[in-house]
Amino acid sequence: MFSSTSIPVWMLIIPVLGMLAIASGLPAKRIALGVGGLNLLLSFILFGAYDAVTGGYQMLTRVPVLELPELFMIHFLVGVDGVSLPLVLLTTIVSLSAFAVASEEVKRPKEFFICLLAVSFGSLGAFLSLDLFFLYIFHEVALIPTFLLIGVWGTRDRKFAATQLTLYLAFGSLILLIGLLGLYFVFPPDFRTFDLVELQQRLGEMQGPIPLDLQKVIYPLLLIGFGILVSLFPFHSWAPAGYAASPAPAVMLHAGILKKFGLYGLIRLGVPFFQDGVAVYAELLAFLLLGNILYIGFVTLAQKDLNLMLGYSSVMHMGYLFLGLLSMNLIGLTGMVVLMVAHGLSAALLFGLASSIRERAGTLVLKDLGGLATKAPHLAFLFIMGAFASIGLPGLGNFAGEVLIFFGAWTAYPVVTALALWGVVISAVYMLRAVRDIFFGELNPVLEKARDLRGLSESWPYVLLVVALLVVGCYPRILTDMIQPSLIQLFESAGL
Amino acid sequence: MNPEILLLLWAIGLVIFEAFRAPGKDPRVLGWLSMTGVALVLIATWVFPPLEGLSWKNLYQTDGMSLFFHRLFLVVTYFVVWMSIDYSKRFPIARAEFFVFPLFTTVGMMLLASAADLVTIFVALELVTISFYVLVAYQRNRSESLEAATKYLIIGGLSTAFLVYGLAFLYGGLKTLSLAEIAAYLALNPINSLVMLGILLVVVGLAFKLAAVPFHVWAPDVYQGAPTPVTAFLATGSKAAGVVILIRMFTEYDAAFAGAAAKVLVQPLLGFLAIGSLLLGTFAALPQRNLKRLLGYSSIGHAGFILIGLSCYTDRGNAAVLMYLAVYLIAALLAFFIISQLSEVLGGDEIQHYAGLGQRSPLLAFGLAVAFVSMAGIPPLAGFLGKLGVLGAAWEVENSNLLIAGVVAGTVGLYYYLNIVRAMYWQEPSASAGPIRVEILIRMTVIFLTAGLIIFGFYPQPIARTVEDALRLHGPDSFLAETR
Repeated sequence: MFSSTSIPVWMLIIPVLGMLAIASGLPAKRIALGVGGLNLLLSFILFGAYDAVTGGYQMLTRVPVLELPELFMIHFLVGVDGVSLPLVLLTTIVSLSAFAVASEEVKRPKEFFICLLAVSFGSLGAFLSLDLFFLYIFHEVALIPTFLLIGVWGTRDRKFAATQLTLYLAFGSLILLIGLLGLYFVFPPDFRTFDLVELQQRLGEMQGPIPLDLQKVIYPLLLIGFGILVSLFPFHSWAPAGYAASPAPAVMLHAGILKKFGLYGLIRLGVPFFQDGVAVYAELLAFLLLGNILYIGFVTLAQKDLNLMLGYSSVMHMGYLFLGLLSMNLIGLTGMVVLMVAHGLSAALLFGLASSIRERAGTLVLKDLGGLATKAPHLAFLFIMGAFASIGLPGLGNFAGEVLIFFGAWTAYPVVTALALWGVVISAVYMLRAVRDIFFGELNPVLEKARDLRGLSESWPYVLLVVALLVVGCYPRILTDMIQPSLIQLFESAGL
Repeated sequence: MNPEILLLLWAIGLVIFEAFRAPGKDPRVLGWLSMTGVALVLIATWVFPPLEGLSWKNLYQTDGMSLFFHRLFLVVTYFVVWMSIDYSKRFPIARAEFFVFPLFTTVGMMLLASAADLVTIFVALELVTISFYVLVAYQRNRSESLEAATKYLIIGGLSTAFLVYGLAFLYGGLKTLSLAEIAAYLALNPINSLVMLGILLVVVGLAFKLAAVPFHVWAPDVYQGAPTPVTAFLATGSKAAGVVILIRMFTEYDAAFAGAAAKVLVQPLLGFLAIGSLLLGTFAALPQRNLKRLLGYSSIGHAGFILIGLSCYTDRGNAAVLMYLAVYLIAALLAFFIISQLSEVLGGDEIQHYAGLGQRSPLLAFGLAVAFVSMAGIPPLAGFLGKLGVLGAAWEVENSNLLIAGVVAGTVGLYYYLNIVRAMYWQEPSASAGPIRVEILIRMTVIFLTAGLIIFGFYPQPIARTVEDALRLHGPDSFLAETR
């Protein structure tokens, strides 16, 4: 019964069992940690069992859930390939760390942990599903509890932030849905299905790619729909406000994992189906991503509150990821997947630590902080690692991804790449300034009684993230060797 | 035997039984008996499936579509009677007929689904409408109920007048009342001005029943004022009845009407009604504070989504509409069931009364949230499939206006549905409010319907099978083939 093929299914069953267990009254945090740990273990086994040399979709489980040609053909299809597997790993690592950071001393802890598990479950499902219908609905499964997490357990103007975030993302999802329907109806009636694996085969059986005039209509729907989910400029304003108001574990899950869903979708669908559409809208995307990197970069410079700064910084870094998408070549897209993983880890690390800084100082306004390193050296060390990763220091994961993206994009778009490179300078300025303001300089009196993270028992969730960042940074081949064969196959199914 | 006759005999039997019963006995017994009758007839549709084809001198047809709607109406009635029994504990309803009347309405609705002739449609529709007048006005001592009943009576009479006038023109222009003959005639011949006028008037009359813009004004007032179980019945059964006539009269004859003048006339008309209902239904719902009134507006929006599917004039559109109806009914029944539970305990149906419900009764709050989120069309709940279906149908016919209206309505709709979820979960209950006790049977009903919405969201195949059957067994098509 338990072969490696069924691992993806089990990874989805376990969180559901966990949620039921918590609902029935078992200790919430322990169950969540158990689920997180078990899924991390399973994802490692999956990583080992996946045959990277062969590449392509593996460990497939397919169950038809709706087969009515007059309506839709929908299969529950889970499995992984080299593109989704790194993101599955990212999900399990960040989830475990977020569950560990979550405190049981909140109001209604049971519901809090159920919501966290639901976000993690939804994200995992979105990356494991290979059916467009389930890809979409798992993302939404993660979205509803995010709304509750911010609205019920958030801080500051949580109600506004949660409503804005939800409506923005729901609107993006609906546009995306129209795009997905477009992809469904592009095919002749007998070929129509939401099953991605079948769809790719059928694309091969058809003569040539999807007609250009249809790609011109459908691809922008996907780009804007997925783009809103990834806070593509100018559809970004939900992100900083939402992140600043969320409780720490929720923002770790959303900024770390769920936000990558849009980019993943654009690779998954853009590469095999919309090569021509990508080319048509390349200039538009170039402008928008420069908006992300440069305009939002300057906005980030102006932030005076750490959480808002991190929120804007995460919007800004999406620009690099879109640069990888823009390049549409093997190197750039490989870099994009690596950076998705690395950015997820570093964003989760920084947002998590920001909340422990708030616990100690009672504020995140940068000028009210200072000298925390003398009181909390471990906290400072971990935060600085995260900041370095975010800047793109060699040895940490983000560097590997960014370098590949820049190399990939340089050949096709040298001007855009040259402008985007300035983003590295901007992020170095605001990150280092934030580190200086928080940890060095004169000790602020409010921090007199601040205590450090209590050994490994309190800091292990962050150490886990730093270790993962170091592994990706020092040995990026652990991911790239896995990503490339699958990407090549995606390109091949597009006829390239 | 036709299921309508069985149900009618049962209902008449119950009325006679009540008349000869000693006064002062518990009226709820009749309610339980009504539910039993509905359940028996429902089971009979599987155990003794009726023969397909035309009967009763071609006035009556049995096919997959009629069977689908029969079952749907019976399920709705079952829950409505159950809701009424429960409702009568809190708002005493003196007379036991309240529990029997929905059965007559159901007979009318079932007859509508089986109508093969304009006369049958009219008679059945009158049976539905007249029994609804009585149900809406049942609480004679509540002025809101009376106000609602007066409005419903006037508007209902008006719409019937439109409809019957239209039917008269159709007969004048075509010299026949049989739906199949009309379809066959229109497929081969051009349309004349009499028929055009007739079709226009019929569509207007049906738009009243569906509460589609601009014939919607009665819905919010009547929804707010009627007893909650009756509101539920209006929102589900009455709407489905309007849909089935539209399918029977227009969109089902897809092949016959293809390229015909009637389609050219009706299709844009339905599209116009759809867009108007979507936009008005969602935007006008935004400022509403009363939950029943809000559901009135939201039901206008749902009529819009259904009309998107109908205006496509394709098999996919019809399939999507059936899917949409099935999942919408579950959500609407669940929502009204819970509202009917709560209006006395909470002191009203305003949104502020629902503040902190998440703490006072986690089950009811969760059920209501699931119902609303499903109505908003957010996956993974079943409501999403209906929306996906109608939007897909609009994609297939490449109607971008319908798609845009659908997306706008979907997003705005989410906002007002979430408003209620916010009140239930984000706001604290007032200090005096304690936990709410829920009876075990009610609890089980809520769990049952909630589970249905979640399970069908992930695994819609069972509903899809019934939809498939409804479309496969096309009575009129085979009949047309014979007459040609």
